[in-house]
Amino acid sequence: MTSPLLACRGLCYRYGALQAIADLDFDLMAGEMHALIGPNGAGKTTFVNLLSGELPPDAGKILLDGKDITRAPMHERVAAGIVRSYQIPQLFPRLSALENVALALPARRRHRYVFWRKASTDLASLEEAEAWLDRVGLAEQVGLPAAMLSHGERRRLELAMTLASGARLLLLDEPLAGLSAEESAQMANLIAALKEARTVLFIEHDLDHVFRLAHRITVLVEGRCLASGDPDSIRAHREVRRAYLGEWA
Amino acid sequence: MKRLPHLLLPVALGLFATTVPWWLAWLEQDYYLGLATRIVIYALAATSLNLLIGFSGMVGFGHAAFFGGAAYLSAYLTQYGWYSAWVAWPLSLAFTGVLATIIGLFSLRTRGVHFIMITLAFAQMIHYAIVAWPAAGGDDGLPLVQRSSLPPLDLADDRQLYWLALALTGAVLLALSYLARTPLGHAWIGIRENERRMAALGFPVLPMKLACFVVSSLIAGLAGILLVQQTGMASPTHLSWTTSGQLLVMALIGGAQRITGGVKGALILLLAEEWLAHLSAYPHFWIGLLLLALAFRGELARTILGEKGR
Repeated sequence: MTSPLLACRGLCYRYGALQAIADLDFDLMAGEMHALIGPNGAGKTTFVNLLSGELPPDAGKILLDGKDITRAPMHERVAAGIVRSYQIPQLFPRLSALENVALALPARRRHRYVFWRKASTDLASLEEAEAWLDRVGLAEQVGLPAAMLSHGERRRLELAMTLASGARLLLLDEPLAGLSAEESAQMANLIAALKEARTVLFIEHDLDHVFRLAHRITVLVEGRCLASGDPDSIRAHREVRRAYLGEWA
Repeated sequence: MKRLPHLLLPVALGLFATTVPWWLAWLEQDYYLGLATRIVIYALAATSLNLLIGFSGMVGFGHAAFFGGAAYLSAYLTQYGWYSAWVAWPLSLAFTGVLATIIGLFSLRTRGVHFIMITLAFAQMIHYAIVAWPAAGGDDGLPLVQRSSLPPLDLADDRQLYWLALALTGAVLLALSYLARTPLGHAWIGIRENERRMAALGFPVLPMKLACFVVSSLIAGLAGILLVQQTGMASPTHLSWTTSGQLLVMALIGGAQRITGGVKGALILLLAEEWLAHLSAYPHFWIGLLLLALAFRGELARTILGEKGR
């Protein structure tokens, strides 16, 4: 058994009186496509915030490759390869799609204090950004400001940024939310294409997509792990059926 | 060919600004050279806020601390015979940089209205500390013993001081318009557009904002040093919150996110002040009206209503 890429032990987070994450243990294997499901308020987004470094846990440990990153600031986690997306796409509205992706490239992070050379002279970066846009089907929208894109296009632009960042571990917070059936299918295909190449943890409510995409599913209820396993075992799990799938199954 | 009309206006304005001392001499209105110098210096000071607001989206309401702080120190150094600009000015700027780093480290942890208030609070502290300090002349301010020596220039000559101020302001404007196209400029603009996303892309947002804040403060400090050369003294007014407000208004009416916004704002505001002071016993009433008109016309409204809230 290989050791996990990401491991959490005894993770806790509390909003006032609400225990959002309660003593959570969690393992993520390299190359895995892992879905996080659970009812609203189960703590899914909070968990992603803890992993990405936007919130500091009250207790517990987060290990990446066995190295403790519990207190590491966000930019160090990105450098270590953890990059997230948001439920509502977080973009640079007035910058072009190309510039949005270019800002995500590791080269831009490294050269962030360069003030003596124009960014447009870094042709390799611009080509790379363009290739990522092409990959998510936004080749036509390269020059458009992000604010002018449709919701579906914004989601794909954010995915392109997450991919361009060089992340090993992608944390996708409801990547299919608000998309039409057609757009959802397109986005699901883009995510499916990441299998093996990258490790993905995604939150999703549409269980058809979850069962189709995920290698492993973790069900979160009230900040605790109710069940974790492959799609078949989750489908068969009695408590999961009662607590979460009940009205759906 | 498309860039030609684009360059025409700045080049024409630059040529006109360079020849202003001769125009004034020809019109026998040399008195106005002082006003022209002040406009150029305030344009530089307001430009520092265009950098801060335009690039990183931070609305600083305490730039009088850097403008006045550098002004006071450069005047203070002449009291002890430090007349060389090559020594006194970098020293004053270094002091401004340290001050900005300390103030920045505290205030950059806040955003929006809180940032406005905390920069104001720090500026007020600096104001009262300097006015209360006996060596700084209290309410009377601190006179400059003589203008700095900056060989090969002779700053005692009003024209040369004007040209120096103009050259420095022009250089800062050119540098900023270049900076907007560099990776650092793009990163700052990214922070203005979406700070959270920049952090999520792995940019250490706080040190990058601090860098922008310090550079902006240094530009304001340089303007303060030049102003003391022109007026012959550092006065408590330079440290007052009204100066912070005046610079902010200049930066905003000219277009906060345009690099040339401060130049436009300084021109409009200082010319209007001069002109209205001749016409009316209550010039500030009319300036208020003018600002209201400008506010409801364009950029100021957009900046205050649309962008500052985020």
